[in-house]
Amino acid sequence: MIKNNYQLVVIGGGPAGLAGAITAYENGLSNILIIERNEQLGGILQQCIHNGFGLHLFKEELTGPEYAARWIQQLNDKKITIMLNTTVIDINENKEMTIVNETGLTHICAERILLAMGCRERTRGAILTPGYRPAGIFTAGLAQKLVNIYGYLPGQEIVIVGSGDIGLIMARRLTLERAKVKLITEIMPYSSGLIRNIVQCQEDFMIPLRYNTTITKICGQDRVTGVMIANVDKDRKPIKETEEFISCDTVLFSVGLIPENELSQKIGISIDPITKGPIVDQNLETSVPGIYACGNVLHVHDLVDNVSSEAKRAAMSMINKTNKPILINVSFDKNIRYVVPQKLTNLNINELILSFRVKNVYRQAMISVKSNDMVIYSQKKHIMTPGEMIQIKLISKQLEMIKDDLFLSIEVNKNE
Amino acid sequence: MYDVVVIGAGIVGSNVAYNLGKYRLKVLVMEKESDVATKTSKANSGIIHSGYDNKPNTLKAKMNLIGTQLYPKLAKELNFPYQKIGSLVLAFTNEQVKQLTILLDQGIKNKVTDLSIIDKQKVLELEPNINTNVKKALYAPNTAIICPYEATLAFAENAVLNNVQFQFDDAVVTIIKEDDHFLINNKIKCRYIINAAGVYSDDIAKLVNDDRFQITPRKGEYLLFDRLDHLFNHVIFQTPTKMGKGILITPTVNGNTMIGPTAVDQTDKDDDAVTQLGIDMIKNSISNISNKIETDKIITSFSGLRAIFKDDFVIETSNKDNHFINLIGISSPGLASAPAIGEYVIDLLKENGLNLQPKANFMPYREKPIRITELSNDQYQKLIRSNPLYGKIVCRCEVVSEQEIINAINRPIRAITLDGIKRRTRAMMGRCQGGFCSTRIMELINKHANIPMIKIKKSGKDSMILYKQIKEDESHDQK
Ligand SMILES: Cc1cc2nc3c(=O)[nH]c(=O)nc-3n(C[C@H](O)[C@H](O)[C@H](O)COP(=O)(O)OP(=O)(O)OC[C@H]3O[C@@H](n4cnc5c(N)ncnc54)[C@H](O)[C@@H]3O)c2cc1C
Repeated sequence: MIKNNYQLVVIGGGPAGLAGAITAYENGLSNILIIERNEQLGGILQQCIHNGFGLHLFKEELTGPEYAARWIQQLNDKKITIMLNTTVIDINENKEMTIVNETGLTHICAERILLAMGCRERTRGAILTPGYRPAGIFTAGLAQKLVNIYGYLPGQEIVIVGSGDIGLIMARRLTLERAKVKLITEIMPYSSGLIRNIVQCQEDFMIPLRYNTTITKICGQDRVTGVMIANVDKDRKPIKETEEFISCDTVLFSVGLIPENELSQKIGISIDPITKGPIVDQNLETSVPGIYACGNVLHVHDLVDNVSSEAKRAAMSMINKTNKPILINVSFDKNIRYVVPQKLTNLNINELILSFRVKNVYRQAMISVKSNDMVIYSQKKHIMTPGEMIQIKLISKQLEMIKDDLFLSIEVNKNE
Repeated sequence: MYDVVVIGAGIVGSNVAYNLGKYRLKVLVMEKESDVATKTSKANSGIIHSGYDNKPNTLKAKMNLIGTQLYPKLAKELNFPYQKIGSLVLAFTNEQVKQLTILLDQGIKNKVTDLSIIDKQKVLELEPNINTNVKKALYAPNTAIICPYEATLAFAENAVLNNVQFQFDDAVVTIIKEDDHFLINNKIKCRYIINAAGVYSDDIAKLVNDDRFQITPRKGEYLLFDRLDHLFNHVIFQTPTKMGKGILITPTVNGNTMIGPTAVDQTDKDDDAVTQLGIDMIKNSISNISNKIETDKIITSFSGLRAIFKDDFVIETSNKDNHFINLIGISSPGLASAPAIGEYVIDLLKENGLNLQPKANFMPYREKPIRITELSNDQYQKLIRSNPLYGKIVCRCEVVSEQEIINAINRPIRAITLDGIKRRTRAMMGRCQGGFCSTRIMELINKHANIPMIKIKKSGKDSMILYKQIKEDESHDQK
């Protein structure tokens, strides 16, 4: 087998991988390889033809493919090797991997690896929706690909399960293609999508959305003929008496995204049970030295701009990395679902970005960061929802105040 | 005029077809669905039981014993996975321990020779992840697992190689006796009929006025888990109840873990919907066996219907016509027994006047489908050199290449539905359930089977995936 050595191997050519590779190149790494299993770069952005990308980074409203193109263009004058239609089939903690494409198997050794494999959609099977298994059941992202890339409408009368962002965007998209979106069901009392998507995709198109509602059965032998839905009680269990039938020929599932960490697990990287992504430190370095993670493989982001920035940070930190081992675990209170990074191994840095999600909708609440019970940062927020990823930045003045621990909390006045 | 028509292409019908392929006969298999193994034979535990749990002196006991002995050779010749992993029946109470001895005695009566009762320590040695309050277990080292749809496909593909014909999407709805032959659906003539229609076999018997049978479909639901780091090595049973063998845990030949089945009688033969009740039942019983199982590793759920008629198999000529052979009530251990049933059917045909002349050129083998995941790096490298499409991965979760999909489309029994591709290649069977690759696979079906995108089906006749092409619609508007 042919052997190749690289200073940096980036696995995944979506927005995370692209920004990571470009930043690393611009800051002195040469001999970089991007491995992408699809036939083009850009990842999932290529099927996101709606706008709203790039507001933060480019101060413009771009579509997904436009946003991807901005990054892909930047590759032009850089000597970064790109392998498309290429899949990593084996990898280990020594940063050796076997990749495959139509030219055969190749063995690769990397000095550093940036994991940027993205995420996959949770399926109907994984959430164990009872009923038949007919045609007409899609994840929202698959439906998006069918419509936007392949030019086919999956059905005429649609029920969307879950109010995740892709589901909301598809509700609008399918309506524009003159399909009838009869209902969006959401098991929680709030949407897991961004507020702007609720407004622009659901409310503006007057698509019915029912909270505290779940799907209890998929009907139809060959093709979907309808679904049974029911209200849920406070334990999120369906209330039998409220069950009703909604006819439809298509069911879309938009019930969450899961970071794709099968390769990380193969390497033996520690995974956070909540984010389902690697546990990382302030450098976004995983439990295996020299292997970094960014983007949706690390934790699911709400905005692509945040993915790109995170990738830049990962690339910068792998270059500027200094070693001064300490260990501070980042902990948080019950209102917070997770925080990335999970640990700090060095405080000799200019700034630290903490990304996190909350568990519920909070209004007029306070984010507070403490170390040894001393408040080192606090910020009042008008509203926080589980659908958005929240980021706060600690600067060196605040970082100096960190002692033995770092504790994030949401101090709530009114919890809805 | 066909010599024999087999109705139904489950494991039973396909094995009968395989056995008929050995003789100089004109044989047709008629199947109402679009592929083999779309009903009970695709949704079961996949266990080749060692045979201790059948009532002594029944057809089940007899067929199971012979079938189990035939499988290893068949698996070799026809190249389908067969893994002898052994089984344990766990006893957690003194009452259950008593039952183990009853099972052991019954096994001995059934001429099952490999059984022993082992104590707690040995049980936990064999299966360290089961709950430690286990007392004893019945150990049957010869219990094996197969992939039931792959075995069915192997029998059917071999039959095709030996000139047996298959006709899909063709449900038998009428059978008329004319002189010395039958006329099926007013178009197909044959001298003998084998009724292997699974849960519908009582309805088929009624078509020749044989109305002695009434099948009760008994639903069995399962949860399928992602590869759980080999949590379990054996088939793990609980002590049986009157509804059957109870909920069991089994590895699959592909390294997944499967937990089920439930057992609930119903009337509707088409209802294979998974129920909340079933899911809850399985989840609850898991903890009786092991508390190491994480339910967030569940990939999907599914169910199959057992064809229950009284307590035993019916394998006999109809009392209305001795050219009509009924295979009825082939519930568990139907899979384990299928090869024995196939041979038995040959005997019955001979007894009833069919002239059986062995084919000189009978082809006993079936080529093994190439699976890149089974190859060494060197073998794989060579394969890609010979055909680069083996290096193009289509299904990332199960690691399936483009050429493997094309092969499935071109095999003796063509896979032209998404479910057909799935069962042959494992593509779309992993954790993303086709979210990423099903569009690519549709393109390949479109290209290599020449089926318009819009006509591509998931499985059944009316299971089209897509509704319409958007661009076409726009050109309509311009008119
Ligand atoms: C939950 C469960 C677990 C099981 N576990 C095991 C096990 O571990 N080990 C074991 O040995 N056995 C097991 N069994 C039993 C085993 O699965 C069955 O005995 C076996 O699959 C039956 O095969 P079949 O060919 O008779 O039926 P099927 O696979 O149902 O085939 C019948 C075929 O006939 C076709 N057909 C019906 N009507 C018509 C018509 N009018 N015209 C044309 N075609 C028609 C159907 O479409 C179907 O393809 C289990 C069964 C179940 C349900």
